[in-house]
Amino acid sequence: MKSVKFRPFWSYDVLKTQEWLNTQSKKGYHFVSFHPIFRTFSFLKGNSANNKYIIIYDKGRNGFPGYVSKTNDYEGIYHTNNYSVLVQKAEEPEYYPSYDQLLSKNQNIKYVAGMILLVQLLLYILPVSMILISALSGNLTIEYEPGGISAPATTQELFEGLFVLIFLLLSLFAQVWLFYSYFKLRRSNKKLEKLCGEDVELSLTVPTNTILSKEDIKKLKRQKKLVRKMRPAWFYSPDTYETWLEEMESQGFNLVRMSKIGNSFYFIKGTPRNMKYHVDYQLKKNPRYFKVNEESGWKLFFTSVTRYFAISVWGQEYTDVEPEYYSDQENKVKHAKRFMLSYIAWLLPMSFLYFIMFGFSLYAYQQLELFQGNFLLYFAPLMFLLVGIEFLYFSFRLMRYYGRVKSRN
Amino acid sequence: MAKSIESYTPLSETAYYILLSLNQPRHGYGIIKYVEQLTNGRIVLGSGTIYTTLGKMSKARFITVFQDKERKTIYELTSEGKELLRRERARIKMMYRDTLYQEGLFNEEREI
Repeated sequence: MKSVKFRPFWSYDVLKTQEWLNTQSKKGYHFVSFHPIFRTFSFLKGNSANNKYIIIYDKGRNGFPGYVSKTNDYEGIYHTNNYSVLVQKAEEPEYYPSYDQLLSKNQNIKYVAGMILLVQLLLYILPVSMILISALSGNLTIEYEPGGISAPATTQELFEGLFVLIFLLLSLFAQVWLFYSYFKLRRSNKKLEKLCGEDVELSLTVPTNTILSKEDIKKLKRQKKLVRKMRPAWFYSPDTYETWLEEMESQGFNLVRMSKIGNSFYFIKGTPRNMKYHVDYQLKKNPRYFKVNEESGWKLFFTSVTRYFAISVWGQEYTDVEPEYYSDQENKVKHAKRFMLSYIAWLLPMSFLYFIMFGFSLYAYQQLELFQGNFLLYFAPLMFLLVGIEFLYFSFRLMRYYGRVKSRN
Repeated sequence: MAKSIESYTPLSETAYYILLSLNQPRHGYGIIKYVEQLTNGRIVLGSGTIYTTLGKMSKARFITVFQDKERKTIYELTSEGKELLRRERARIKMMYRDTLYQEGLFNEEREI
């Protein structure tokens, strides 16, 4: 006897879905297949079994993973273009599947949903707060004009009304889907990240092992050994600050941690060290990012709060041979290029936009003859000009950085 | 897929050694250590290089990712990866043969 069960968001929490398949098999419903579009699972009724299901996402793979045929630890049950479903036979198999690709997909969905929600929040925050403030202060009046619609309604009006209703329902559905996706994935991704080997412990952006205890800070401050250096917007010239940090170390100022927004460096006056620093930029940090660097002896000091377009600061102490983060010239140059391009891709257009706004506001003020002695009005155009110049300057610094990396050997 | 393999050749020295080290599944740091041992310390891969190259290779489906008993991520060549490595090995063997031949000629000329 066949039975079909609907589970629309099963891939958002694959571990839970696996558990669900296990309990179904205990009840005697054995997994047969699933439908990728209708989001349904088909089962065959049989005897109760203690099956342990594993779902793997592997885009474009033909057939089951290699270790299924090579070892007898797993049995392949079902396979589509992107998914494989296995039953774990051995108690302690030699190999385990990786949830790597499914996690990556879910991280992308979470990121897109999160960005849309953020933009919505920014767009709505001003009008909603204005309405709220006026409502609370009692200045809100709602104008309502009765008799706007002719009765009885024509067919056209009926269709228009229906269209609006469907549109509203769809947008409500989309909104619920956005919230659900974001908050559901935020929780389930964390579980998968741990399973994929991400074990870095962060307090927002700084690793917890770099944070000093309060007593230590008090003691260091009394001995005047703790030095804080503020360097805003330093990461537009990353290589310059790598060298700066290395020079500080050679003078005996040991970097202990960075501030949470990453604009300050805390040093302890200690002994001179040979330290190599690397400021790394990644379009996306996957769970293996921290592991492979830490195993190679790099210590993390800072990493961006987001997983995407992230900057991280790594350091390694050495005795004679300088360790290299990128050992080959090709990757070194590509890294600098990525770093530069992904920033100037928005810095340059924004700078251009601010210059246009500067020109436009000046022109508009002149047309309206607003400048008669009121110099306060110059404030807005002046700010536009300054921000435009600032963004241009940041782009210029990044391009210089790329040029230096490219010409250095 | 055949066209895609050609667009990846010739591989950089780094990428070639990474694929060459995958005669058995290894984890990221294991590759670094193995290549260092294989080349007698001539090539010490940086962790950034390993991370970027492995990411690129798995995106191109030359390698696949799974985990060992200790739940550490390990990498294995796919059939496409094996094919890529086979072609590169053949190319480098030919280069080696030609190099030896030409080296002989250079040495002869010096004697005349």
